[in-house]
Amino acid sequence: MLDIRGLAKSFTLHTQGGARIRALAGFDLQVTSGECVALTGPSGAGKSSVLRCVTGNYLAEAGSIRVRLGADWVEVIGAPARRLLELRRTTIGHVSQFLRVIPRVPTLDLVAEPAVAAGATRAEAEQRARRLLARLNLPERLWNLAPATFSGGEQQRVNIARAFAHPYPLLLLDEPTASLDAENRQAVIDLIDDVRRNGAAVLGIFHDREARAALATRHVSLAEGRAAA
Amino acid sequence: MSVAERTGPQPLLRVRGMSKRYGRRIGCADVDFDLYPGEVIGVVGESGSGKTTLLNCLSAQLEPSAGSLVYDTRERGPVAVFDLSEAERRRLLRTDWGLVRQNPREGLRMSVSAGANVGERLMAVGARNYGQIRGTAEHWLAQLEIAADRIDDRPGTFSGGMQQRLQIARNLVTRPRLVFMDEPTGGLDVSVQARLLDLLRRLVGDLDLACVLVTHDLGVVRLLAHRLLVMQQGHVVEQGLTDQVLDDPQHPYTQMLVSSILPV
Repeated sequence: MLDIRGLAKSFTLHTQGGARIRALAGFDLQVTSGECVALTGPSGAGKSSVLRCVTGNYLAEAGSIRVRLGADWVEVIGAPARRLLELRRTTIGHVSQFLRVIPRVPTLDLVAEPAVAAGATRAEAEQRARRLLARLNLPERLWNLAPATFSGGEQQRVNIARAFAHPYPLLLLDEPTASLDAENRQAVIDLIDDVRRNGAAVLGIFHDREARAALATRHVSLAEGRAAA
Repeated sequence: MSVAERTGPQPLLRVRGMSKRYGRRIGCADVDFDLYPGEVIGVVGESGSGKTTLLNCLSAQLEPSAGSLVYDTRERGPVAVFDLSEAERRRLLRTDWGLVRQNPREGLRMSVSAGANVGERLMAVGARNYGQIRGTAEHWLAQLEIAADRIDDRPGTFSGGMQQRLQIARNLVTRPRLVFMDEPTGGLDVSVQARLLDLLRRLVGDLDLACVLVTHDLGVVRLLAHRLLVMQQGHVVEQGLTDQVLDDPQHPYTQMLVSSILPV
């Protein structure tokens, strides 16, 4: 599903005297359907940068990132914006560390929205959103409210539900179980594991050891922007 | 996969080398981009960066000094906008295009009712049946969350947020495919802004509108725009996916803009 070769990424901080920070250099990784790869390594090793380069949120500077779209492989690096948006709409589910949504929109609509964008009818999308929110133990009285006033754990589950609103064949998870209590963490773990068993390729960062042990079928350790031995 | 799917749709608007000079001063220079159906492109930059000059050229209100602007019309396919007669351009602006100004008073007729403001654009494209015009006006006022019992009131009696929603209703009534917006949420209270953003996002999605959105508010483009153009001193210094430009800005000027946002 995902084929990364020779990925390099650095940041030039023009507002700070042109300081240059290297995040990734010569990074290789392949992830196939039905496996869950856990990226490990110390803070600053480049784990989040890998995920962000795959979605096109970060502009990779060298190498190749190919994502399978139907029968084709799409090169992410250098792809036009429309192509990246299509990939995100149809193929890549992404849980970021923060929920970033338009104010005032009710939770149920937020969770249904990605499925509608991927081509589901509103009724199908809403049904799926209800099932997901129930499965993630988000109290039904919150569904018609906007998540701005929710707790960290509640917002995180809304964020997760959005990434599972459509059966994306590739899931990128950045700390999906952070800020969750034990019961809700287990619900998230079960959801991710089900989706993987159904054939999704999962690439994740899990600082939470328990989640990592339960989910990962393979570990890839990063050190200084490369896959460590 | 058909050929059309493989090659994708044609751009609705194709902009090449768009430049406007005022004597020796540069308004905007060498702007290139394609805008596709249903796509929202944000144009950001500080005051004086050339955003509004660019918008005025794109919406054919200002003749550029150089460059080409090709619009894919419904009836005739792609046409060079500045080769059209002035009457044809005006017709485009009244029908297939919309223009939402920052100050709703400039985009509305303040001396006639809300309903007439919306109905007028329909009459300009040939609608004559009073009942139908009123019905359509009611529909668009409702879409923009303006209460039906305000249809006969003049816009001067509306709040700023309502006036802006009325201006948008007036623009959407002819079902345009391309809407130009100049700081549509500027000058509104924050809570009013959020409501308008939510409405705009829904409408843009439901109507498959293409949109050129000029603003200095990076929060607004993050929520509404698919792609961004960053302008500095009349030039586009960076363009790309909105979240990429905001989260991983490449150009020194964009980095300065992004790092200048006050945290909330």
